[in-house]
Amino acid sequence: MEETEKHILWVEDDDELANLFIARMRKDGLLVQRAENGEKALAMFDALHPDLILVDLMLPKMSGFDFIQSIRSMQGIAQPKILILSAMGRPDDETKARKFGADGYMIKSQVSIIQIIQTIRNYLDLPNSATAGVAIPL
Amino acid sequence: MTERRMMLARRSSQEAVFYESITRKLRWSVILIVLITLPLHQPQTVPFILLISLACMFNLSRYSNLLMRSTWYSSRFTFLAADNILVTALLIEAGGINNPYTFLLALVIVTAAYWYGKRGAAIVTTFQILALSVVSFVRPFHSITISPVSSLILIGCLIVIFAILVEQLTSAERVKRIKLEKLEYEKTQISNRLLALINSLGDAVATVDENGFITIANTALTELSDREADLVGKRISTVLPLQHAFKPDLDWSEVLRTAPSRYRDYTLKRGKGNVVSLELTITPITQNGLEKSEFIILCHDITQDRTLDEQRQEFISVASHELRTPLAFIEGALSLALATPKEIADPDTLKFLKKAYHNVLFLSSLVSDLTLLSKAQNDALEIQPQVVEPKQIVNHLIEDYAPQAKEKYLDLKAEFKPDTTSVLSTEHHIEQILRNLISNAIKYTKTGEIVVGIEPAQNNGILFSVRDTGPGISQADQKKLFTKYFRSEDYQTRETGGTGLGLYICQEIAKRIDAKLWCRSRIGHGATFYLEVPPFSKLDKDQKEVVAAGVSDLVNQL
Repeated sequence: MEETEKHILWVEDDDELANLFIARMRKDGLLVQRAENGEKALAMFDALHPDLILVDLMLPKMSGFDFIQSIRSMQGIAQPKILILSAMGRPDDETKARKFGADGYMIKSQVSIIQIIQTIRNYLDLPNSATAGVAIPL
Repeated sequence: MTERRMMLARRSSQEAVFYESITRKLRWSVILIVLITLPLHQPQTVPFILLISLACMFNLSRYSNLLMRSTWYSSRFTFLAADNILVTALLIEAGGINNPYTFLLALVIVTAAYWYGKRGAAIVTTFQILALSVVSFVRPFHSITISPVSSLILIGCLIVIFAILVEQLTSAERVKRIKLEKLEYEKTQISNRLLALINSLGDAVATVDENGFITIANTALTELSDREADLVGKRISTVLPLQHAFKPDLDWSEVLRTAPSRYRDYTLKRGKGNVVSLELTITPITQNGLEKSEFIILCHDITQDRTLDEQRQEFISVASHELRTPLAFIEGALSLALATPKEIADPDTLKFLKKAYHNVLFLSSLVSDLTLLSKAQNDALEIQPQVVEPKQIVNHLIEDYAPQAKEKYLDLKAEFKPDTTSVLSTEHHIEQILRNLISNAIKYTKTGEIVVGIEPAQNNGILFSVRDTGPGISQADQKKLFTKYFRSEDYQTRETGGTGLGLYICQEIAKRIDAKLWCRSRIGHGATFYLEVPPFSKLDKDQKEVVAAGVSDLVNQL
């Protein structure tokens, strides 16, 4: 099942976990593309017009915060939802992220993939996941 | 001087004092007798006798003064000499210079002086005066003739009788005194041993009265408080000004009021910036079963333990992160496999994969809970009070949990009472507790709504509430709600899963910020959890800067 209207961009350099998540999200029917770093993501931005961006804070070259700032400072475009999906969190990161304009903040190893999927669907006003199968954890 | 010599010196001077007290009385009475019999003497000798008697009285009074001073021993000889001269003069006058008895008497007196001198000079002089008075009496009745031999024998007998009398008197007294001294000595020995024991303790020990004044302090306390002088009589609050990481300094009057008690979170700043963590134990003192208004304070150094705690905390932090990533992976992979269950041919494989998925979810939440718990119990140092906006926190949480609520078709909303302002506390902790309460509410409520409320509380605090329309919690369960590993026996509730640590952790976190957490519920009528957060009362310089920054942020946002 494909929902061709909403595009998701994931900025993540290389992480097995992230790759697994992307595979899982695709199986759920979400359209996900991956960019390895901030610069490539900005390049893909114009072509893709993503509705939602998932970004890891620890990126090579351009930092996650800088990337968010670049997106938020763009004029004349529909601003996408931005979800931080980072490896390890410090308490300041979340406040800082929200200040930069992120909509959500999650720590990769602390959320289940189903939670991520459901959060994304919620942000994109999509119906609930159909492939959750077993009980959704809270 | 060694203890024994001191004791002996004390004893001999005590003896001397004792002899003197008896003989002084005797001597005064004898002088009185001499004066009374003055009219019986020859008129030309009267002035001379008077003079000498007065001189003796003067010597006597001086002697008493000398006794009071500790240098009695050295003045003894001077006094003796003076006394002997006076008495001899009186003797010569009374007996006449040509009297052979005078010479004999003088000889006897000198011998007696030597013999009795060892025991106490007082006896000698008394004897001298006694002999004097004998002569005094005899003289008027000079018509009575006594042969030299018989008078010598008479005097000899007098000496012996007197010696025996004095000996009898003093021996009984001496035995009693020796017994007392022995008891005193033993008592001193025991108390010395106890003192030595207390002083060799590594922990600082003090006893204080109800007003906080130190009555006993051991060496360890003197060292701990970096003092040189004796601590007795000083206030315990000035000797041990203990501080807390984020609460106010230790209030000693409160501490004594609420004894017995134990505190583990207080530190003492010592010289050179050295800070020690102390475990304080305060106990009221009971003697013979009655409680006195004194307290014993024990300080145990737990700085080492604290360092170990910090190391353990770091280890748990790292270990849990290491645990979480593989768990997240396993969970993701299983979720992926189970996303298309039709692709799994074998029904058994499907069944067990589902079970594996459940288990890994449980494991993930357990690891999260244990990390949280460990942090909550140990992170006294991480509290950074800030200006907290309750509405902001609740709005974020509602945003975060909206998807899950939507999934179950529950209505998740906020309810702000007017006049709710900011509070000085930590966002992190409040958020953690509220997260747990909200996720619990969503988990256990089948239909209806979940309302997160904010209203002002007493002393400028904030009262958060999470109300749900779930099945409610029984009175029996409510009592154990916040205990470790508690899971309800109610079938419906149990089925929903959970590690049983959630509310226990919330309670621990609440303690960290002095907040109160409780629940009101009735079976069948939902449940409401309340969290009352008070403002922080202690701010040090750094924290004040953080607060100031927070306040200026708020102002900028307006």
